Amino acid sequence: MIRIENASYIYPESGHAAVCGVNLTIQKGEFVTILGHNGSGKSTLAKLLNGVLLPTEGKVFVCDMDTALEENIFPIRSRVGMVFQNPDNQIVATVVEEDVAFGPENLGLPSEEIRERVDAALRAVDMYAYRKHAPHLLSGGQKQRVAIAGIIAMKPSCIVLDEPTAMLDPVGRKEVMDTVLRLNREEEITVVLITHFMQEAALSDRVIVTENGHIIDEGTPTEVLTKREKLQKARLDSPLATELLENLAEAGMPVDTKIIDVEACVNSICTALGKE
Amino acid sequence: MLRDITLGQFFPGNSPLHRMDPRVKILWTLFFIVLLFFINNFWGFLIYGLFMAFVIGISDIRPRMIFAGLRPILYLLIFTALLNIFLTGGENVIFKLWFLKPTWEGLYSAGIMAFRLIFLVLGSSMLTFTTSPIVLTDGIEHLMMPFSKIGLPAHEIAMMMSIAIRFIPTILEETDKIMKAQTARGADFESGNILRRAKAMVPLLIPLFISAFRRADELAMAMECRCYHGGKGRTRLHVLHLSQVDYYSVPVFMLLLLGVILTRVFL
Amino acid sequence: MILAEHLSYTYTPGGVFEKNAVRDVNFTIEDGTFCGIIGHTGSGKTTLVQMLAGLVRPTEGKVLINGLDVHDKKIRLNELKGKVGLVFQYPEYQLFGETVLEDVMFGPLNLGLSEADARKKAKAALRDTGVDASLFDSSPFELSGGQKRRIAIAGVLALSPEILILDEPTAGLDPMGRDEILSCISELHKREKITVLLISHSMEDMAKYAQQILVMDGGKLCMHDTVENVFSHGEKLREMGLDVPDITRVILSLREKGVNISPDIYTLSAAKEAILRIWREKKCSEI
Repeated sequence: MIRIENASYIYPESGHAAVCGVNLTIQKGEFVTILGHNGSGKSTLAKLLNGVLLPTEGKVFVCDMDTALEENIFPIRSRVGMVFQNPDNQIVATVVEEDVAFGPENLGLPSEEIRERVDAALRAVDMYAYRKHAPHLLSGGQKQRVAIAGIIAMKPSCIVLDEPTAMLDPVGRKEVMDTVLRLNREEEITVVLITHFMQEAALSDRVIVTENGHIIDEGTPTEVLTKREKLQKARLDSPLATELLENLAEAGMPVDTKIIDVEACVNSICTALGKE
Repeated sequence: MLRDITLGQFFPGNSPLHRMDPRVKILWTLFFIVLLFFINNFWGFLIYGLFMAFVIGISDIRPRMIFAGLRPILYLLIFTALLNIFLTGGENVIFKLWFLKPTWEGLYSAGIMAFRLIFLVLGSSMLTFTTSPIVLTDGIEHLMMPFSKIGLPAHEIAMMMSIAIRFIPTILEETDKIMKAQTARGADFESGNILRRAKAMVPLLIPLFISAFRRADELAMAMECRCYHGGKGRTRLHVLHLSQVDYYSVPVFMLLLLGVILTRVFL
Repeated sequence: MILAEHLSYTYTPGGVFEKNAVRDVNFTIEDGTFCGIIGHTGSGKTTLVQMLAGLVRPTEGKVLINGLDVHDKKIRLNELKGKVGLVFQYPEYQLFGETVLEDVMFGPLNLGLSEADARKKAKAALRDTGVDASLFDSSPFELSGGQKRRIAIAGVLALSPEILILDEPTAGLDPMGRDEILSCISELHKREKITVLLISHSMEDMAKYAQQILVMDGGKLCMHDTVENVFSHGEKLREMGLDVPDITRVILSLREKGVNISPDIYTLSAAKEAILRIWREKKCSEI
């Protein structure tokens, strides 16, 4: 789906190297999380994925199309959609359905097809009931779902979400993550999620940890999130459940420390205590 | 306080007026305004008044709302009327007080002016009351299309207008927040003379400008990511097309035209 | 001491912001308390703290700080001026100064302090929030998000408030940035004995820093209690659309499975001790 070959990006104004020699392949249908603290280069990396930024060195290919070639840019952007952090700054229109229609309109589709796609996209994010509403009156989580619908209506094969939940409350965060998961599982859309929340990374198929423009770790959520020292070096937290289990194991209790979610953690403790 | 301002007030509804094509509505509004300046006696205004009553009647909008829209121009109305009464020269002086010499001619032209202003405001507010800002810009874009051949960026102008409308509530909310935040740091926006107040605005305006630029930047990127590349090759979800209401409007306006012509010729 | 009496706020009926109303809220917070405020979006938290800071006038009821009415204009501009500091959500969007120092000095200068005193206060506040002295003369707009956030918080701290209210001060920050800012605040609370009111969605932060918690739901105050008492009502919190800390979730599920453990445990160390105690008892009884 997406192939990054030895890509680097240096900001021209500051000379700051935000991405350094990254190699990464994202498979079709995968749910990949790019985890890193603010300033670790994860957002810059995301912007390389659909040609918003072009690598100063190396290459990025989307479906074997080079993002650096001018003629590829629209085909690439209709295949790799992007959702940003601030929901207010990516909604164009004053009516929800008009906003969702913005992408398909740019693709020059006939209006009956736009209608179909808009309705389908709004249903997919569970916002169909709000199609006539004014976006500025919606909650953060709802706005972000509208933004996602705006991308889905372009029928992309991949969505890149750049910290989509950073400005939301827990309810909104859950709404957005449920939507993203469903799109990945049911519609088979490839998802690249940029975040610094462990709980969100735990939901994905593969986690990539960035630090200082480099990829410093990669693996399944359980593999990555249970390496506490490495995470701390990348200015990240490990899940509290893991930390608790490690503490218990240090004291000699026979618990499994390769666990990242609360439920499994409880089960492991119960087993050690002889309760089922 | 700031939230009470609503630009281009729009009252959603499903009246024949709401259903009219925005292009037709804009053209008829222009027609209505131009025709207004051909009226030279009060019989003409009577016909306009009847027409307006008909339009308001079918619009589903409470008349109280419509006349509330006249309030802001009240002072302008009184001022122009007074100017007309006292400054129009004429033979038939009503009374003489020091240098003031109001004339019957002045009173007459003041009346004409006042009616023109009132109908001007009523007519154009009927357009904004029954047309959502987005549909309105859509209509303007279509009407300007022929001029894009001579280099008028019709699509870009319409896009800018609709984005501006979209961000009004967002920016107002932000203004309110920054004002409160600076007040919490002891800023005072309410007292002092004009110079002090202007200076007090700096901590409000700078963050607002910076945020507007940041928003513009992010929005532009988001739009590019959604394949926006100007108006070329762009289609629309809602295609404007003429409906029955638009055809019915033609005889109605022709009747208005006829009425005005008759008052000019015979009365 | 903060005293809220029958505090209510209704936005213009039928208006858009009606949902953020506050209904008949009463509470007392003693000096020097670190109090958390939780509640989902639209529960009235933000309106509540803006009323406490005297920025929004309540439609009914009053706020007394040390017995003085916050909404009396004269008192607010004299006795209470600068006493209540409020840090808004995303405070970095309010920065405007040409230099970091100039921006932070804005507050003290508004209080009528001399240039030199204001500078002193600003420097102290910047040090408290962990901003390096080498950045004092740079433009705040060129710095990173986390640094901007701290400068903006310093802008409020420079007023030397006796009551510091923070509305989601860590929103959008990464885990480290979050911990750094909250530990600065906690440090200040311990050293200067100021009252801190912290709005946050992160129950982990509440568990770590707060002494008591106000729970808002639908504009009403529905709990005001110590942290352990609030978190032991896990079910009730979930009904309100709120989380409980992960540790509390572990403890509550263990109880459901029949493990005899106290429901008011919410910190990692307490949980570790309690679980180990049960495990050791079990081992002893097996032998």
